[in-house]
Amino acid sequence: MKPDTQNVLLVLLGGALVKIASTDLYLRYVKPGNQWYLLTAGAVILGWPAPRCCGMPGWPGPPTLGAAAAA
Amino acid sequence: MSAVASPTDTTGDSSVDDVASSSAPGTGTGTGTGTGPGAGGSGTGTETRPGVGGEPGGSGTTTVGARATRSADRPRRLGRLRITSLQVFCAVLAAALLLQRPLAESVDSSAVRIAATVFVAVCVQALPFLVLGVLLSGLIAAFVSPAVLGRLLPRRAALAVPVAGLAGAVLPGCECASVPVARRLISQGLPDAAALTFLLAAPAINPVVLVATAVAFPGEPGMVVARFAGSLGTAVVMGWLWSRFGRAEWIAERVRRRVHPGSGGARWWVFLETARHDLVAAGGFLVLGGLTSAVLNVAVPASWLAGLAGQLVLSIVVMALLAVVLALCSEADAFVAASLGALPLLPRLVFLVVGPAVDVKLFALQSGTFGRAFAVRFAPTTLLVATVCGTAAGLLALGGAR
Repeated sequence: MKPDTQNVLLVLLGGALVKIASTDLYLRYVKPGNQWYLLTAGAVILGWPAPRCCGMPGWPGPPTLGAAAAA
Repeated sequence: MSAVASPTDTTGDSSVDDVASSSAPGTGTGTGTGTGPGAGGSGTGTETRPGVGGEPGGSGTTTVGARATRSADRPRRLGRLRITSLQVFCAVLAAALLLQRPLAESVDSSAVRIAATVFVAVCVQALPFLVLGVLLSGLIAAFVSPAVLGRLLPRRAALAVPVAGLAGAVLPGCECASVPVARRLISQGLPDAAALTFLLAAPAINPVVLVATAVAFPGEPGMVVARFAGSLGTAVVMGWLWSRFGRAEWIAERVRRRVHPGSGGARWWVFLETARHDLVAAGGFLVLGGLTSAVLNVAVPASWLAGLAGQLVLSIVVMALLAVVLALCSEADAFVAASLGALPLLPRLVFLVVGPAVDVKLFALQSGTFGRAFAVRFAPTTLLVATVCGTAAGLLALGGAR
């Protein structure tokens, strides 16, 4: 699977987790105490593709091609 | 060069796809990654993405036309260029959106609804811990050198195994977290037996799980002690068995591919890419395991449990199998075990010892991570060892069969 496809998948998955956790829907699946786990995990998954899409100041490019070319 | 490219070695196909598609005129998804650093990558990526997803026919045929002569000897590669995983994914997504209502109406029965809830629950419950696990595995790949790991563990395997088992007590997660961590420990040069001991010990004897067990069984401190002893015993025995009988070739070769992280910002890319790859790979198998568990949950009738109360040996066997089938998160299983009040404590303890060590979801995760040859040998042996260790620990710590 391409990194781009993985990123699309991650955005959808993270979005779904955040959506479940921000309403009462999550209570169908987990205990009430787990809401913050779900929100955090959803936010992390949702934000994962950001460095690759937007770039990080001071970092070299993604290792796929950018860093290989630099090395 | 191989230094920083290696995390994508683990993605295997994807790096090849990247190169391939960025060289193709029509399919531009790879260009975003190809242009490398900074916002430039994002620009190209987003501009070309609609072209790829939106008009597969149009750009696809011109691409094929232009490349047909050059790629006539490589039909498979040509096929892969035309249909990228992103296009397939978009098609599936569009089909799901369009067919959502008719599909939901056609399978609207209580069994399907229960199975769907169990499936989502298994996945949702596990995801936060899987995320924690892949973040840790990414950190190990990027920042922990094999030399450090070598210094932490005793040199002799017989001693390294129990130390690795006790080290499992510091990873506060469930079994999904420990699979990617164990994988990266092996790739960074930890002996297999020690990594596998850690894999089995971490989800069962960490403080979160033990506190959950104590809360679920108030007034029964023996359960906590027995769970700790049974699970640690399972992990250590499996580690020793592996160092005596295990063969290195049972573990898929890709697991041993070491990541050479480079330095500075490159390390952070290694961290991000390794963790993301592990998350997507393990997530796929989590979904498979969740589906299996959902189907079995509905297919196995609840009345089976009712007639077991008087038969100790049978109830131990059934509870061990139930732990495999239900695939509960190790942080939640104590509460389920506590709710089965009709059964004696011993079979419920076996349920708690077996669950974090082997279940259908873990089997799927392990065969995806370490290879099928590993999983088909490791999982049944673990089931046997965990049942025996759980029973022995229960007899000792609970003071007989209660």
